[in-house]
Amino acid sequence: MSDPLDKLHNLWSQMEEQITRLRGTPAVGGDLISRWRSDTKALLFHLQKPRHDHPALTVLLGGTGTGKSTLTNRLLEANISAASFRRTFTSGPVAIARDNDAIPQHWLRLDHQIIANDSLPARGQAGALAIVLHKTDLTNSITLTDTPDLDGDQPAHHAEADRAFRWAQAIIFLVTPEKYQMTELLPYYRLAQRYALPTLFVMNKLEESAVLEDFRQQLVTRGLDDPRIFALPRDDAAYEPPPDANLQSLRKAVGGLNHELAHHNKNQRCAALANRSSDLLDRLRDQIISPLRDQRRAVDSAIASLRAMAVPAAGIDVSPVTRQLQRRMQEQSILYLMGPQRMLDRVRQVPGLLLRLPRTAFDLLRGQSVSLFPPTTSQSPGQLPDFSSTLTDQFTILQSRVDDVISATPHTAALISADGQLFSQAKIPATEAAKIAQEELDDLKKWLQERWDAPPRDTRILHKLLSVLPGGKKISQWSEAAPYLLAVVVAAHHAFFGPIDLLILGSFTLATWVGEKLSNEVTARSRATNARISQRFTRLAEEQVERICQWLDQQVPSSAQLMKLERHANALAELSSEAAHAQ
Amino acid sequence: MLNEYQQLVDEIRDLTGAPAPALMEEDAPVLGDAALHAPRDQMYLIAIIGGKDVGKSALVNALVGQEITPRTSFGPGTETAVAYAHEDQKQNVATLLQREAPGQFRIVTHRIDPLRRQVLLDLPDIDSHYRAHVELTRRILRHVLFPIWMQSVEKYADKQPQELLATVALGNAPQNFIFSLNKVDQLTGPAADSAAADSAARELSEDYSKRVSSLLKIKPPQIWLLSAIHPDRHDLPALRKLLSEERSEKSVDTSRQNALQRQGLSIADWVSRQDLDHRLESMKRLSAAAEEEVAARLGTPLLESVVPRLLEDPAYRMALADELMEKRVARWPIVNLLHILLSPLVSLARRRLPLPHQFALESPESMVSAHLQSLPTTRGDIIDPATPGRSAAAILQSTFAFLHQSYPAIARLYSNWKLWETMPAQSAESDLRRRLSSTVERQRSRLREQLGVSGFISAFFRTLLTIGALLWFPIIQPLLESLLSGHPMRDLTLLAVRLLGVTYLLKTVAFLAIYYTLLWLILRWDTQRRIDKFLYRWKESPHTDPTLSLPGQAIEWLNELLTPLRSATDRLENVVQRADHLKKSLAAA
Repeated sequence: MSDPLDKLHNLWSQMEEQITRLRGTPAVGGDLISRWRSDTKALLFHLQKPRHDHPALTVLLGGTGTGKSTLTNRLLEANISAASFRRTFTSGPVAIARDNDAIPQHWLRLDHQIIANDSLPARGQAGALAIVLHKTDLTNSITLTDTPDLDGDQPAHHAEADRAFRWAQAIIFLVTPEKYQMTELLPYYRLAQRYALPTLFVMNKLEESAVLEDFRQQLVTRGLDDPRIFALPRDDAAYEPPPDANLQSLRKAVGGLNHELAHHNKNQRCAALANRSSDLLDRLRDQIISPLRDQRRAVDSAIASLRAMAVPAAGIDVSPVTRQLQRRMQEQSILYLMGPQRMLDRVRQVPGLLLRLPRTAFDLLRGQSVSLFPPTTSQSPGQLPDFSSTLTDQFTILQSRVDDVISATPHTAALISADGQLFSQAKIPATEAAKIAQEELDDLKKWLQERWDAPPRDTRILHKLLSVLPGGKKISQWSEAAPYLLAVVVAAHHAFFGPIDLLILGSFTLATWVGEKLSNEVTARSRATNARISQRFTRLAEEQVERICQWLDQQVPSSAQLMKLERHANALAELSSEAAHAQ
Repeated sequence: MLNEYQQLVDEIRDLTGAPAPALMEEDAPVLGDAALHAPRDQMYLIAIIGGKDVGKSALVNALVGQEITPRTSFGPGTETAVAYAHEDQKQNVATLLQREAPGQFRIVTHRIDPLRRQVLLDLPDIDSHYRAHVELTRRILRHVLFPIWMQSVEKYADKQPQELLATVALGNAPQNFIFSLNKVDQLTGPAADSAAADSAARELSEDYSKRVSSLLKIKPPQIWLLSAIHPDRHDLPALRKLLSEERSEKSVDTSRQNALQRQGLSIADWVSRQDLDHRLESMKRLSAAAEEEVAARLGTPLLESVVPRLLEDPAYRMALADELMEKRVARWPIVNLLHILLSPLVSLARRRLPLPHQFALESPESMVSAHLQSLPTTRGDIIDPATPGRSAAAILQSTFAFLHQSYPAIARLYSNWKLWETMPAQSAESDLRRRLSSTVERQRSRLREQLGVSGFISAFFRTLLTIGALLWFPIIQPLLESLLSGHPMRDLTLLAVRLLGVTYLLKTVAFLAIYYTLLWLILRWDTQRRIDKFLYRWKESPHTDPTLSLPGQAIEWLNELLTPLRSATDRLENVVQRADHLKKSLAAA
């Protein structure tokens, strides 16, 4: 009969599946989602094709001490539900059914426990639906369910009662003169009307008819036109309810609830279900989708600013490590040995030599070893700067920046406090950065070690050239004397060549310079190391940022998922309004 | 009373971000100062508080013995506060109620003298959908010293009244309450035997007592079982007797004290739930760790390397010496001419200095900044001279980044001063630079003051040594010599001729040049010596003016870096002390 209702059922069950896949986040708690899901199940139950063969599932709702269990027993004329003058006595629903089939499976989504007849009266326990099989005229037409209180000091009771209300097909509200003005029932009055639930109102413990009138007045001002109110007098009261509102007529009315439900107008049913559907949809949007969307937005912007964040430079220059080698290489270069540069260096050393002369003489007198040259530093690679700690520091700076970005908005900060463990796991330990420096430096050192005693490249080339020539070895041995020869030549050049000295000096300098540039493996190597360190550091930093971004991304449902939810919700909204207006 | 705690609570909230305790909220139905600190001989309020239709008005009427407030069993019920007070108190009660519930009260007066100070109030309900009722009752509860907390046998387990009770009891002592259960008659019909009814009533009162005790965390209180329609049964006669006479001034005073103490206990309870000790402990640990880290990474290189290097910087001395020299030399005639002539030579010598020293000569600021650019790195406490230095800003930044990563609390404490970011670190470094360079500046000006004023040779001697020498060596001495040798006239002529001779002139000029250069050198040496003496005194003496001490300035700067941490710790410590004090004083009371 109800094409739109079938469609609604389909869509809602899909929606329920989607929500099941959602994890709880700080903004949307897991219990919120599970509560919403259980209400959705209730809606799905109502959306199923109505079965007129089974009795209407009628729920008795009311505050503590209104006498719900007592009324149940009085309606059925048997001691079935345990009643006590102590309050908040019943803590779970108790259903009284004619047989096992009268209650659909998984109704209330609780365990169904059939209570044996010899353990009556049954006392409802939280987390289970107690079922008492009791066959009377009344249970033939309705299945009555006694519920825990709605307003007591036990929140669990309230939740059980609310759940029973969501699954009910008909409602009996029970109040007393003391409680008919309480606030807890007001929303349920409104919802029962909105969901077109056949509703009966019962005032228990009545002593005077004016209270009943006041109750009726209250219900009418709340928009319920012509509520069916029944009255039960207090045991010792002299008051006698009118015949159309006493226990007999209540029993009759309760028996008629099934009939009423069966003859519900189709349009009315559609409208009621549409109302249920749109209420649930509103809750979904307000309590789940929109907080999730806000959080998603915060996470997205945090991710964007993380990606855009400047990665601190590695700031490492290894040239102090290689400088020594470079000098040594230079000194070993054949061009240097042959060139005038060596002479100039020697000349430059003279003043220092003279200055140190007294000291040298003193050392000589004391019989110590004497060197004419200044104490040189080019013999050992020297102490290395602490590159790894620099890199560690830079990496910690990066992580601090990441933390700042995430804790900048309350949404993302809440994610950390909710899941700090995984967040710290997403962080790369700073020793990784230190490892980069360590590895690269070890590599460099090994290279330096190899090169320490090897001749520079230009020298190697020259040696190779000379070894091909006859007598080349000798030339290369003799070549070290060249500067001295040159000095002599320069000193005496006027006698032979004229101003050729300048030419010689110039060309030699040029040759050394070019040779040095050509053979300068050291500079190239240290530059390469620098580049590699900074590249690896940047890569590590990017990886870190990426991991944090991934962690952030996982915390909240993806925007695609949210979009899907939204589309689904929109489709549901459309269908609901369609169902509401289907005539 | 609450005001006394207000400051403590505010400070704790500021430190922890916790929400305010329930009894300090704006409209909390908690006894206020007006009722707690009233004079001893002033009235006190007894009010009946309870849910809708539990029989408050009936009880009032039963207690008073006349119908002063109409009983209602439906509709809004009692909508205004009804006070039953002695005629003498009428004005006071009216003033109070007019303030709290303008126009919503009625006063019934009596002339029973033993009840002169006692005011009995009937109030609207606390649990219906009539919002105004609940509001009115909550407002008046701020003045009620003795609430009669009333529930019916039907409603005693309701949530809403229990929540209100929990809040009211935060600010009032449990012994000031009278917990009562009305409509006991409804437990059993009139036909039932009274033994069963009594046992049911006892069971119910036990159940209620247990609920109240677990709600308020007190011993199970006495429950007064009442039945307004049977004024002579259950506990109603006893209650009537209790209320038929006003309490003595002393007992009211004690009750007020008890209420005050309960408020203190509630606050103390709230304070102890804030976990302050644990916070303080972790804060202290954090503080110690941060101090250690800053000292090791920044303090050691600053104090053991930068400051001594600054003090021993030759360029620094040179600059000082130059300045003083300028001043001293100005008072030496002729030598000052020489000084001007020699200045190109001096500046040439300076060109040979390494670059950082040349910066140092420029200004103290550039000298300090040159030193701060290469702080030696440290391993633990040991300065590592072999490795090249890093700038103070970089070290500062990485120190705080490290702290920030190890202790997330740093992020909150330094949220206004993120030293792990480049800019704040650099500005902190420039603050240090400013401090050090202004100290250097001050040292210089102090030196100028102390050294520049008086020389050890008076003006007369200065003139004698300079102008005198100029006159004596070339002119007076030869003149005197020839005069004393005995042939004045001829020798004088000869002298005049000789004086204008090339040999003589060259000789004299060369001698004078040497003489004056020597003087100049002595002056220079003396200046250097005095500067050294002063610097030494500054370095060694512990009693120097702190504005002149470079290590003092550096330490001050280091301390400033830790200020947010320290002040938070101090505040927390202070708060913990006050909380302890509060606890102790409450325990003593």
